[in-house]
Amino acid sequence: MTNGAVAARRDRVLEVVDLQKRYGAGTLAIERISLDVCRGEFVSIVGPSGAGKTTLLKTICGLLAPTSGRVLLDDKLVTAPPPEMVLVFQDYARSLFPWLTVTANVAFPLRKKRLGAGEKASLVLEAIDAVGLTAFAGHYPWQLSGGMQQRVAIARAVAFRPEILLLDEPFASVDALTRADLEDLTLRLRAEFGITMLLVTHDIDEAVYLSDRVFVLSPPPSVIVREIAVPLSQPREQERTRSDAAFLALRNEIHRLIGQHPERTPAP
Amino acid sequence: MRGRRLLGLATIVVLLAAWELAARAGGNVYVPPPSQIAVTFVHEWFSPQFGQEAVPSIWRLLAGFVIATIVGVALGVAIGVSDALYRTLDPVLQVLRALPPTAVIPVGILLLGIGDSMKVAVIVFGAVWPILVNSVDGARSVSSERLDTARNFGFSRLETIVAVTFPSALPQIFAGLRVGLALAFIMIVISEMVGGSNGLGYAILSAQRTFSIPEMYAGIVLLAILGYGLNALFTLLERRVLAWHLGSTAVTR
Amino acid sequence: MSAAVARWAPPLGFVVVLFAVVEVLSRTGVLPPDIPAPSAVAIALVRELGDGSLTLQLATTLGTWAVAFAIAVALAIVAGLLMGTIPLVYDAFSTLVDLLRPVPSVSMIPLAILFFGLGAEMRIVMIVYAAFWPMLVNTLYGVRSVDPVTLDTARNFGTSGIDTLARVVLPAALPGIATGIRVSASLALAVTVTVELVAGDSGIGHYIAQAEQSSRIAPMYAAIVLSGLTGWLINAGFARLEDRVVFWSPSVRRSAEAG
Ligand SMILES: Nc1ncnc2c1ncn2[C@@H]1O[C@H](COP(=O)(O)OP(=O)(O)OP(=O)(O)O)[C@@H](O)[C@H]1O
Ligand SMILES: [Mg+2]
Repeated sequence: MTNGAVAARRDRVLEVVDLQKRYGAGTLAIERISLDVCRGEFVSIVGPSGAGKTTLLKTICGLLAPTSGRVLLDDKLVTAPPPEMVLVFQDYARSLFPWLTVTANVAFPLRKKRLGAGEKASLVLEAIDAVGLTAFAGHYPWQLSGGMQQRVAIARAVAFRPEILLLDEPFASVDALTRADLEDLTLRLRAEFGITMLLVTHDIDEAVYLSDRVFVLSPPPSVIVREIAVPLSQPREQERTRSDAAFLALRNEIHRLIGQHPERTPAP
Repeated sequence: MRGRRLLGLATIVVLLAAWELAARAGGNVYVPPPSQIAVTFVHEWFSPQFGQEAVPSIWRLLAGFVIATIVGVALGVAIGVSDALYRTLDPVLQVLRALPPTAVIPVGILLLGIGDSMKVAVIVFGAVWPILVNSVDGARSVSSERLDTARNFGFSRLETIVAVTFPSALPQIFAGLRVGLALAFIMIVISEMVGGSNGLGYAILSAQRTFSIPEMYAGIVLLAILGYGLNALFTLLERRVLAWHLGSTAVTR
Repeated sequence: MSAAVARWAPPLGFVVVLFAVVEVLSRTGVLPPDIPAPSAVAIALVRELGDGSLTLQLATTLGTWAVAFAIAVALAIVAGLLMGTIPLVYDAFSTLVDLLRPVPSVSMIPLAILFFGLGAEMRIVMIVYAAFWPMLVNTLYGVRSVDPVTLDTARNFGTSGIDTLARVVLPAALPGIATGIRVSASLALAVTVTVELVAGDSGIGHYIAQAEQSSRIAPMYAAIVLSGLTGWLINAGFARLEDRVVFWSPSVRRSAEAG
């Protein structure tokens, strides 16, 4: 474990305690999950398709009410979406607003912040610049490629300056090259803005590559099978990190836990 | 592209020419030649008569349509965002929408007489249902990701309706407005025919009754131009307001 | 069973409460006498249907509607197929269609009276004219959505023109045609009642106008209610037919209506 992670561990920002979630009287999506996230940490949750990953993130950020158990943010109970947490949805095409330009989409959440017009404008510019879309600020989302649209969604979240960014399979529907790009963008944003990251994915390699810690979920109704620290050196670099022997050992361990071979990682 | 346009115009010219020749040769008083209708049209409508007959029709139509729009969109979105309201009112709306709208004109005459308020009221009644029903459908079909996004950023329910639900529903609302506009036209013409002392509907029906045949045709032509013109204006507005929608659907297609 | 109760209890409850309020307001004289008590309307409806006076008018209206609607559908499908499959025909007539379609059809009523008098013929001509346009536009929409690749494939296999029409074009155009049928059916009923109201000698529209002129208030409302229920049944029936035809693409109805 790196020194940074040890220090961070003492500074717990998010705590999920015995969380259970049942939809109405029907599906039990989450059996029982407990986890914690420290300030500045990058935590991933890996699970098979339908494991309740989206459900978990929505419950953590207060969009869904837990059936039982608690979510604590800075030791305060979460009952409604708090401004400290922002969720980036799996399906960018549906969460962006097609009637707004890139700039207006990124500025959208700032309507709720009591800031001067100048301050808001500079937050927007900075966020768009950070995801490398300055040249497309006046475009509409549907004029952009899938990867660029996901960048807009990320910029919108970053402009809001959350403490924790929750990412729900944010790179699942883009091609492999774009995916690597966006992964590194996420690492950069974390360093630049000091945002704590909680990522949900079914891509084991991605989880290991990005994270300080990984939680492995069982198939639904889900429980946490294992918590795994990722003591790979920082900063991470696609080729070097992914060919590291420690990296390979970790991913193989997680594959075994999920009970699947690498080729059979479920498609989104 | 250009050749196609020309062919389309040529058809119209040929039809008009055939009509002109047939009318001159046939001498049927019920079918005046287009040239005579054109002369009558200029004579009739480039005159104070325009102010007496056309202007009242136009403003009643617009007033009724605007009121129907405001009422239909506001109520429709409100019903669409509330499951309880939707379940209670939707079947009722379906029946009201299917009611042949001109059937209520006698009720309007009974309650409000034959003045302007009756005409505006029946136009509102005629145009409001498609607007209302489409607003309901539009508000209900907003994706949950969009609503969750707004909630995630701390938007209240009302703020979410204004900033997310309403714009999302706009394409459907416009589809309803287009149908509503057509119904508003039917309502103004019929209400003026059934209970009027002025207006275009009244003018063309009384021209027919007094056998002022070219005048009747001229009136129909004016109504046609108004119908076409308002529809074109509406399309223009729609293209502006829904540019994002047209663009995004063209991309995914 | 309980699903049906859950579905119909709220709207029925709403209607019952609404009628009860109007009933009380009407009986206590708060509302003007021109708004009768719902019970009086219901009694009038049962009575007039029972002694045949309203039943006969309903039959007349439905008869006129059915004849005119069938003619409009047949004409529009033929015209739509011609325009949709032969580019020259499309180019020649699409401008004319664009020009005539937004013209309010009811403005032609005086013209129709002039040529055909006040009888059934005039009404049928008016209804056919009004119902023709949405039927044509939706048929065209359906025909033109036929995949050109499919057409080429059919041609490659040496399928004859008529065969292609029957086996490739018509099935692909069916969703548009079904939408057109539903939209035109409702419009045709509305125009039927309208021409009866303005210039009829029979039918529900005529009945409503007569009742208003002779101040038979409750029967007038009864006839309006009856025309509303008729319209609802027609619309629901054709919507069901449409759902059956386009079961593979539920979005067709929306997009076709918007266009
Ligand atoms: N709104 C809902 N109502 C009822 N059941 C739901 C709802 N949303 C999800 N579920 C069910 O809960 C379970 C978990 O769904 P969830 O979407 O959280 O899984 P996931 O891990 O995000 O899946 P994926 O990898 O496909 O995104 C599934 O069985 C799903 O059918
Ligand atoms: Mg998911």
